[in-house]
Amino acid sequence: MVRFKNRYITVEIESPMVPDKKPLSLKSSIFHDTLLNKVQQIHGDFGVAAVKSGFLTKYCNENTRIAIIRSRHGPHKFVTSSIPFITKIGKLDVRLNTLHVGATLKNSFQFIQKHQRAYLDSMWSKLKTDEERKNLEAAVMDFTKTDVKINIENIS
Amino acid sequence: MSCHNWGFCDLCVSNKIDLEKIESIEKLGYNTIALNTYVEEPLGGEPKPKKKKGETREKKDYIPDPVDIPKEIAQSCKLNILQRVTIEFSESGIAHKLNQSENLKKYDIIAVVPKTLSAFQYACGSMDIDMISLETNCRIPFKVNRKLYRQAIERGIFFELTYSPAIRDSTARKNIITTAHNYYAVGKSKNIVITSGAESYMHLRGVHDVISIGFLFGLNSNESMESIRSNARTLILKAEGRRHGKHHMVIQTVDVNKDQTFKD
Repeated sequence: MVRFKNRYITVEIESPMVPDKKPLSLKSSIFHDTLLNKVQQIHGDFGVAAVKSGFLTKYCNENTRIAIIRSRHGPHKFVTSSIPFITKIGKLDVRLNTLHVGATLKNSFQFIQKHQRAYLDSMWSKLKTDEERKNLEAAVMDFTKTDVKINIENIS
Repeated sequence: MSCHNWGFCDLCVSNKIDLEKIESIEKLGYNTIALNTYVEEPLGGEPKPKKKKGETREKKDYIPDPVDIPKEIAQSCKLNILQRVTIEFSESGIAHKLNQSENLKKYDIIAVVPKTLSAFQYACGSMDIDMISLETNCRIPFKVNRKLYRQAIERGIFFELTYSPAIRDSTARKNIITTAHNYYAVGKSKNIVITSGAESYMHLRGVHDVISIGFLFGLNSNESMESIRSNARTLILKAEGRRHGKHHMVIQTVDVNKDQTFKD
């Protein structure tokens, strides 16, 4: 039996309209729809049909604006090639920045954790009190919004 | 020059871009950018000013001056910033103008946009340039044929694909993808350089994304990686060679002060 392979794409959502300090709130479903619409626009009906099985999007963290996309291996190329062409999510002007494409969730999470740490380090220097720092750490390393918390436990 | 760390290159960023925020390009993973100055072809031929006796007519340079980069910005960011000019033309008569132009020598990279078949032939065959770029807004009125493409490759000329018009609207996207696939059909996508051509920061994409755009252009991930790294590097070196003429070696003096600090 051949394994059912997936690809996990980690994306960063950048928007000039929201300042860096504030969290960027976004509904996962809107993000999901814009992605599928873009695939439809670029690769047509075939692209959407190929991508749709096993397609999953999750907006993970509002502070670092990270989202994960799961897609089948093979058609994930349709997804990665339409990501650069997204300029709007809802009414928000955005730019999506692919950070990492991995084969397992575990791998992707290790990457994200490293990324969050780097983000924390850069933000901590700007904050003054320890309390603020702790709050930020809690907010940045928080994955409770997604149901992937179990994965973090698996890694450590 | 050759030992410079060129890294990932974006060889076309519009000069209208806000230089204050140039660090954001660095964050996307690039090491080298080229600021583009676009020279349009004057419409309907220039009206010749009447010559009067005893009056020396001021010669106007066909090519404008390159944009100057403020020193603080150039020093504060680690990017290598090059100057590039793109010249639009439709007949070979332009060579005369270019020969006379003094400003042309100030640029690092020279690219052309041929508008007719004869112009394209001239660009591939005998023009002293580094890069050929094709228009994106409308369909190209001629066919790129295999012979000319091969000829251009042998002379070390690169073909450019810009992706930011493709992000902006759908017809440009179709045209760009058509040209890219045409390059593949004609010459297996050799000597391709992918650049952004971006006028705002929102149209720039990271290295990962450029590689996945390359997938739409009919390149595999290795080829797209080459198109922004090693191809761009050879282009820069070739352009440097063209500027120096028949030289084989460039000698640079190393800063003497640096050595002294080591001894102390």
